[in-house]
Amino acid sequence: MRSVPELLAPAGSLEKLKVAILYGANAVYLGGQKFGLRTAADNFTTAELEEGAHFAHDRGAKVYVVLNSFLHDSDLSELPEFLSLLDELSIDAVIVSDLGVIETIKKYSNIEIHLSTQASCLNTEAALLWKEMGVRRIVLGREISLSDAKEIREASGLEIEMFIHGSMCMAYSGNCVISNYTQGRDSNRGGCAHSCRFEYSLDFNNIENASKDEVKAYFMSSKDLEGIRALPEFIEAGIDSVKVEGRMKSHHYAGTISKVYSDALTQYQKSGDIVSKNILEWEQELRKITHRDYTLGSLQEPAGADSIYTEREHETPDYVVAGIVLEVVEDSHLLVEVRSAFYPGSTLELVPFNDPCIEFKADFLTETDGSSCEKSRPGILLKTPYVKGAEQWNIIRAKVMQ
Amino acid sequence: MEYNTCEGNAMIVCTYVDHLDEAILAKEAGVNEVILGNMLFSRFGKISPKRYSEFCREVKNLNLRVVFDWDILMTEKVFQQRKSEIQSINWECVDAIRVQDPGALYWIKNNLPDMPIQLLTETGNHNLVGLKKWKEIAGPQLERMILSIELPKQKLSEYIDALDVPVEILVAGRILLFYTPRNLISPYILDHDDDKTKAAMESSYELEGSSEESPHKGFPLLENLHGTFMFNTKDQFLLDHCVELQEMKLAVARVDFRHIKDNSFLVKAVNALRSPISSTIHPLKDDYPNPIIRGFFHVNKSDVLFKKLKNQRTQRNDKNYIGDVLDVKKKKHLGIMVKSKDIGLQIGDNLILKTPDGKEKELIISDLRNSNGESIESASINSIAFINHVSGVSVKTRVYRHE
Repeated sequence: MRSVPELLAPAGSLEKLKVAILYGANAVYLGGQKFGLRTAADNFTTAELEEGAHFAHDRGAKVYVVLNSFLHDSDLSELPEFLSLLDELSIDAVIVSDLGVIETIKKYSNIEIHLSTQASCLNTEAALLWKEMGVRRIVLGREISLSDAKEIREASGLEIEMFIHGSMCMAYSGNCVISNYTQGRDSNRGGCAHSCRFEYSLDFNNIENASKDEVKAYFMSSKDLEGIRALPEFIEAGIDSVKVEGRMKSHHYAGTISKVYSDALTQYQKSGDIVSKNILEWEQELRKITHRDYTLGSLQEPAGADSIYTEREHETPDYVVAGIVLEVVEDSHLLVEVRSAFYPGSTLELVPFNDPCIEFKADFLTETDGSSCEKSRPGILLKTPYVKGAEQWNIIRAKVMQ
Repeated sequence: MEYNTCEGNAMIVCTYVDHLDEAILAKEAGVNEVILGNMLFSRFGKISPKRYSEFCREVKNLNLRVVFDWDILMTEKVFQQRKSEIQSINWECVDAIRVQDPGALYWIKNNLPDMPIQLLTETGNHNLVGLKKWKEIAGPQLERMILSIELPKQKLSEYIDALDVPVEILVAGRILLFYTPRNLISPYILDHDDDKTKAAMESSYELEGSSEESPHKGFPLLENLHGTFMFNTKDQFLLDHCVELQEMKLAVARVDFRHIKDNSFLVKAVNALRSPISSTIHPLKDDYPNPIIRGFFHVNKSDVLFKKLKNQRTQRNDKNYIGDVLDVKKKKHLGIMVKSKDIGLQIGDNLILKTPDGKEKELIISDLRNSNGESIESASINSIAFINHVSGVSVKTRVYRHE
């Protein structure tokens, strides 16, 4: 068996952690109630962290906890207590961007330290400096190409983690403070208002050869990264961990990206190759989750004009999550937590953890009080027909009728 | 001129110059030190690599301290190029290098071990532990730390005392909000050359952008060789707080007026900084040509809104937590998913249900069933159970055991 990188998936909540691992992620990253950059995410309470760590470790998956805010003095004082909890739970590593946080960790814990992409480590010399600071792994900035990453890895001797999928900051990570000044929310402590996704009127009056005097454009919004096509290059570059962005995203997202990239890595591990027919299938799967247009970002060449997402933020996925399987009663029914509307007779698709998707017809939809349901609605539990092979936390999706 | 020869407690004033006449003006105004931006190494540098060393000499002859500005961030590839280009710099006329990229800091320490370092820690450094460590990393070469303007004055004062190294902040000038290596403006320019490096070396584009989604209008935007930059609509302006800056022993005040055509303001700025007096009679802000803010100088509360980013009532509290309501059938049952490994559901349990809209309901379990409608004795983690209904409860209600 060939060596392949770890697949590191986002876990915005305990349920998403389970979904990501069950669908094939080898490692997950998550945030506690403080110190991370996703203030609006559910994040993990102490009990959830404990359960999540057990769940992951029982299945051979690793758990990394993000401490990647740029912390202020008052935040730092609360860190040692949290570190002792992480030690107690045998958390595998923490992801950090602030030197003060690194120093505090080294003082109070022996936990492995990964440098967050938020620190924008972009070159070998920077990696060597961070290595001297006790960092074991670098999450490189998204501006880095795979060939650059290979050089940095070889020259620094550090583990290298790179994003392979998900939304991208347009700015060098950690170097954007638009929200701080326009919304009074510190973007580097979890308050990013996504101002780069706004439409702007650009005044070209003073610029020669401009196409127009004024242009309205989403000129600073990045397309989403999709690196499935470049996966063999990730492997050849010796990248230790391929990372997917998206702790704020859905169960559907966590499950789909974990399954697709896990399948791809498994295929490479077995055959040493990735067949183009499969790439097309995986790309098709990745189009079923909510996403902006995809780009390879700077993985091969510096991101150019075609990496800019020039459209308004909108969601027009081909598929939606119909629900999540919460209970399987063999030969009787699936108990589904409904996430979007579907009807009796609708064709649904069950996404098993390891096997290909199973299409089935919702021959009956029964409410939990036994009455029949004419149209599902989010926020209820429904019984749908039993599907052989279904397991708790499987995703059921429905094709969107355009 | 030596670095530490300013009279008394007077702050050193530094600024940027691109042309000799600007350097002469700076000297006449009383500026001590000028930052020279080589266009290959400095974010907004305009001095060509060919002319750079000669220009340094000319400025040095004015008896000004000269600082080489190396504030760009560099990918591996760019860094390799810069390492070869930096060989052409004549360091004799350079008094110090200012640097942000940790890679550049590492390189300077190893390749220019006698060169004083001015370390830019303006981005993402908001705690003393980290700043002290940066100081230690920079080592004996460190002559100055440039701190963030997001630090309120009380923190700034505390750090100046604790760091025991001269500290600089931006006292007046543009506030950089955003820095990307991507070219975001040139795609809208008709004759943009696809060879990005060539195009950007020869041209930079400066314009304004406004969004209807933001109350702030007219963000200055700049694209050049190094990417695209966005600035705040208002400039940082602390020139009416010079007494406070002096009292906190700020060593160096940086003023950056490169975006202002009228260069006469520099003299007023330097006078205010070198001889701080109360600004109540004629505040300097009245003479400044651009809109201004004090930013976070008085207070930084940029985390107070975080609590509003999510409904605090739906946040889980681990103590006595059992699970969540996922299904409500009026006058029939509540469907609950048990999520606690320690506490399950049993007949007779006394529960507290905390709804998303802030209500608290009490309930004693008198009926407990599975999804087949069969009575069960208990329900444990990851199972779904249906209990007797209580009014006023909706999905996403958190379920706790009554103490």
